[in-house]
Amino acid sequence: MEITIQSNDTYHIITLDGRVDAFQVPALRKHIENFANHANQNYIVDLSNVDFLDSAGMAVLVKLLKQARTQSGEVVLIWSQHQEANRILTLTRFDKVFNMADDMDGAINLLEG
Amino acid sequence: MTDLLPRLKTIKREFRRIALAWQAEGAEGVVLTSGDRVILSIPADLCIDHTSHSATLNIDGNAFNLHVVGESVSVPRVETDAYLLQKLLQREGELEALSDEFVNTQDQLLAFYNLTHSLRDQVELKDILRTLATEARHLTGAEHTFLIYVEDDTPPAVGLSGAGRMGLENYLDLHLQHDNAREYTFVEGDTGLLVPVRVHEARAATLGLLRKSGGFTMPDIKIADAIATQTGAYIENALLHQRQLQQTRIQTEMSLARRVQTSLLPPSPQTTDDMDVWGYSEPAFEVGGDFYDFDCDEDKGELDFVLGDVAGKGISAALLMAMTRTALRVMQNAPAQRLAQVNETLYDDLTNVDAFVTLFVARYNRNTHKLTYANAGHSPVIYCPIDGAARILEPDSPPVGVLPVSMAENHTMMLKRGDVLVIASDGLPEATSTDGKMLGYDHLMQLIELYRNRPAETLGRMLLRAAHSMNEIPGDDRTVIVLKRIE
Repeated sequence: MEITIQSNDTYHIITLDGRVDAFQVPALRKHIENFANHANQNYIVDLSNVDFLDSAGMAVLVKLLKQARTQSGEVVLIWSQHQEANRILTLTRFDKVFNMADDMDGAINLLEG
Repeated sequence: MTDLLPRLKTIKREFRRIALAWQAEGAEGVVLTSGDRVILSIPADLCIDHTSHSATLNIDGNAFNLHVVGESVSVPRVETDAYLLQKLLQREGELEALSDEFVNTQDQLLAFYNLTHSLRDQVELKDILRTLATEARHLTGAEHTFLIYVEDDTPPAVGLSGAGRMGLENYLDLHLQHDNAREYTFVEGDTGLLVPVRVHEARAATLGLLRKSGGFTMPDIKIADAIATQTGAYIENALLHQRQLQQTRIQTEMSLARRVQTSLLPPSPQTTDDMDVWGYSEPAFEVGGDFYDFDCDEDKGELDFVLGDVAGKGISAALLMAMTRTALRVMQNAPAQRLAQVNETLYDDLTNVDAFVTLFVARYNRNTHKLTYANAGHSPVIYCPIDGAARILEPDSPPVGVLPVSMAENHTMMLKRGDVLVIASDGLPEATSTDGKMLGYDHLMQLIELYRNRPAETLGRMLLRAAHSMNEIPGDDRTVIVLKRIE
């Protein structure tokens, strides 16, 4: 898994790549904990290139969501291009919990709108 | 000169033979002197006068004179005899040196044997270091010896021997003073010697020999080096033993935890007159985060059942699993209300450890054949009617612990005779082969349709076997319960 982070005044963009599973999440969790005291608590998590996402990966995204919402922030997930990765989002109804966007423009609209 | 005296005594016999030979030819006798001192004389008290002839012997830088007293003495023969005695004494000296070396080697071998013997039954690192430090002191004659083993994350282990013990920081300081590029380092004005000890090919310990009068010689360094090599091997053994002990302890505890967790699952089968029920759970490790539970209320004719999957694996998931199971057991109302209460009870705890639990909670009424269920993010739940295609009963709410308030609602459906309900954890459809192929939801539904006429246990085992055939080692916990209306 590769993690790329870009930040501006309004939101942070976390781009993930490859597998997001139990073996990869410690690195992602560290990034999320580093954001904990940040004034800006709006996030876009780009899952476009994630080909596998399991419950451990989902647990870290839920952590980010809880962290953001306790500080009136929001998290938008961009759907993956891989159906395997999207399955956990739909099967477990996480798509009802997170704001979901088809692409980056859609995600930015959701946050700025 | 003093050292030569014992050696000189050994040539008495040869000296006597020389003297007798000279006397037989008319000489008065023979005297061996060193300066003014008479060493040997035959006959005793023979005076060296003008008639004597002398020749010089040199032994280890000391000069001796052989005098033959008498008329008509052949000077070359005196010189030959002196040369003979000189050679004898030299050979005797060489023999002594060899004997000394032999005795020393024997002593060292014996000491190493004792060392090996005394360490044979020792496995505690500190005891080993102390024994080796003591033997190093005995073998080298240092006043104080120490062995320090420094490993990351744990306090250093030290073994000491002899007087003049210091604080731990001093030994650590000496450990750091050794130059790793060198085979040994002299410290404290050459009265101290540090030899590195290698553990698993990395320098991790130091043997220190301190305060030896006269300093350390090459044999001391060789002995210290031999002990250091042996120390490295003993430390490796002790560490291996420690690791094995720790592993055994963990394995014992994990086996116990597994037994405890298995005892939390209801015995299978739970078949009643009208419902064929079977359940099974296998964790990816010793313990896991999956669980299922049945509770039958004979008076009301109700069968409550649940299946849960804690995000994550191993001990942490197992603890959360036990917690969730307990929270569920104390609530006896309808499925969605149970889910709402469990979510309320566990939300904070699950948030604190970044976890969530997918939960399927259901109640089957045996009188009305009505199934009521609520699903918090759990999948797969597959309903396969006797006369139709299998389909997934999708959740309407995210897992427990994700949102502060549960969104799950009660759903109802009637079960006909022969209808099958399969609830599994995601480890079943997500069983993956080494080339990355997943068992998949579609294949799982096909299998259920194919075997829906079989008893619940046969069908359940078929599904688990299909997952097993995908890969040797389960990557996730796998749980399945099968309910089939038979009346």
